[in-house]
Amino acid sequence: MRPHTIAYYFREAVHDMRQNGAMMFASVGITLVMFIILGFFLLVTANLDYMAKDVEGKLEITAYVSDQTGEERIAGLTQEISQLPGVKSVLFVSNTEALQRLGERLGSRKELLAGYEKDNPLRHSFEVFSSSGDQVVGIAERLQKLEGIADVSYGREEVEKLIRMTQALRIGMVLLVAGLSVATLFVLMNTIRLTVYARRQEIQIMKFVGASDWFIRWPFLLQGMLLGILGALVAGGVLFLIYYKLHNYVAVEIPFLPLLPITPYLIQLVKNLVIGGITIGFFGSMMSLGRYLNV
Amino acid sequence: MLTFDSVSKTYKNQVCALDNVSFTIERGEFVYLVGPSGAGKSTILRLLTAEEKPTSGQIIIENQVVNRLRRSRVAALRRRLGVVFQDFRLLPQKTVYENVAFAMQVVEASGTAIRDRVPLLLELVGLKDRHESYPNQLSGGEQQRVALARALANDPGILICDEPTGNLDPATSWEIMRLLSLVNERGMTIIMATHDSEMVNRMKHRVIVIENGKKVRDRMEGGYLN
Repeated sequence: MRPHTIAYYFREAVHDMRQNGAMMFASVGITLVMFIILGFFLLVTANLDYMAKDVEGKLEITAYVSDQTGEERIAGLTQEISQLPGVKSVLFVSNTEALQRLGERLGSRKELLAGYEKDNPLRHSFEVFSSSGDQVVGIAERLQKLEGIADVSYGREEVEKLIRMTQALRIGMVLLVAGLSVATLFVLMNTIRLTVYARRQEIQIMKFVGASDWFIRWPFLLQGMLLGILGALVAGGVLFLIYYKLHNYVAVEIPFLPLLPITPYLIQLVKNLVIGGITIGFFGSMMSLGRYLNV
Repeated sequence: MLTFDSVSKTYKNQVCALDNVSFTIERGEFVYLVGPSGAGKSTILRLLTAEEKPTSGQIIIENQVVNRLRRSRVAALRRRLGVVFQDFRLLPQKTVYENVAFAMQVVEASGTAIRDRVPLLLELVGLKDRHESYPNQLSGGEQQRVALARALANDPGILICDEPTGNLDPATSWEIMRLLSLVNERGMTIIMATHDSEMVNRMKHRVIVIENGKKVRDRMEGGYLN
C-alpha cells in the first residue's frame, strides 16, 4: 500500500463523512449512548465482583464462648483453634473488650451502655481469620464442635448474596452487550450504506477499470471505524468523568465501600470500548458494501 | 489473443443467451458484433469482462482462462480491458480531467504518471481545452470522447465498446468512429457491439453476427446484412 493511497483513503472517508454530516453525527450519538450503557454495566459488575472479593478477603469468623467456660479452657481453645486447618490467625476478645468496641461504634450515644460495665451481657469470643474464602464454611463447622464454643457466626449469606447478584448481572450483561453490539452494528451499517449508495456509480467504474475490492472498501471501512472510535472515545470520556467523581465522593463519604481504582481499570475499560468500536465499525462497513461490490 | 471456445450461457431464469459460440480475435483486429436486441451481444461483452461466467465453454484472453479467474484476479484482467458504454457513465461531480485521472488513481498509479498521461489522452480525443468542464457542460459526443480517454487511461490491450454511438447523432457518431479507427491503427484490439448498420457498411471491418444466441455469420470486411 503506497502512502499516497492511504492518504487517498482518508481523504475520501473524510469527504464522505462531511457530505453526510447529519447522519454521521446521529450514528456517533447512537453509538455513544450504547457504549455508555455498555460501559456502565461493565463498571457495575466489575465493582460488585471487586466488593465480593473484598468481603471474601476479610472473612472473619466469630466464635462465641459459652458463659460457664473457665480461663483454662479458654487458653486451651486458643491453642486448638489456631491449629485448625485453614486458620490464619486467632484473636481472643474478652467481653470487656467487646463492650468497649461496641461503645466506640456507638460514638456519641455511648451512654446507652452506662451500667453494663458491672453486669456485662456480652460473651467472650474468638475472632478467627481464614487464609482463604472457600475454607470459611469448613472452619466454622469445626469450631462449632469444639467444647466451650456456644455459637459461630460468619458473613456467609452476605457473600453468597453478593456472588449470586454478580452472576445474574453478568448473564444480563452478556445479553445486553450482544444486543447493543448488534444494534450498533446495524446503525453503522445503514449509515455507511448511504455513502456507499451515493458512490455507487464510482464503485461501478472502479470495478470496470480494475480497482481491487480492498481499494474500493478501505474508504468505507475507515468511515465505519472512525464512527465507532468516535462514539467509544466520547462514551469512555463521559464514563471516566462520572466514575472519577463517584470514586472521589465515595472515598470521602463512604470510605468502607470498596470501589475499583481508576487506574488501571478505567483506562482498560476505555481501551476495550475503543477496540469494540473499531470492530463494530469495520464489520458494519463490510456488510454495507455487500452487493455493490459484485459487479 | 482472445478466444471464445464453445461458449454457452443460460441465465438463472432459463433464458439461453448464448448457444455454443466460438470465435478467435487476433491482436489489432477491429470486430463488429452485430445482431438484434437481445440476441446475445451484451452477454458476450459481460463474459469478456468477467461480470458473468459461462454455463459451459471457455473464454481465453492473452492465455488466461477468464471464466476460471479467482475474484482477486478479475481486477487485474480488467486493467487490460478498456470499456466504453452507450450511456458514457462519466462521474457528474468530477471534471473531464478528474474523470480520466480517476481511472488511474483507483489502480494506484503514481501522481506523476497521472499528470503525464491524462493531458496526452485528452489531446488524443481532442478535448484538451475542455479539461476543466463538467460532463453536463459537454455534448454527447464530447462526453463519449471523455469516456474513451478514460477507457484508454490504463493502457489496455483490448477496447470493448457497447453501442458507443447508440446515443449519438450520425455526425457525432462519425467522430467517435474516426477516433476508434485511429486507436485501432495504433495497435488496439477493438470489439464493438452495435446496431448501427450504416456505420458497419461504410466503415468495413470484420463482422460477427449473433442471432438468438447463435453465431450466424463471421466475415472479414463484411457488411451488416451480408
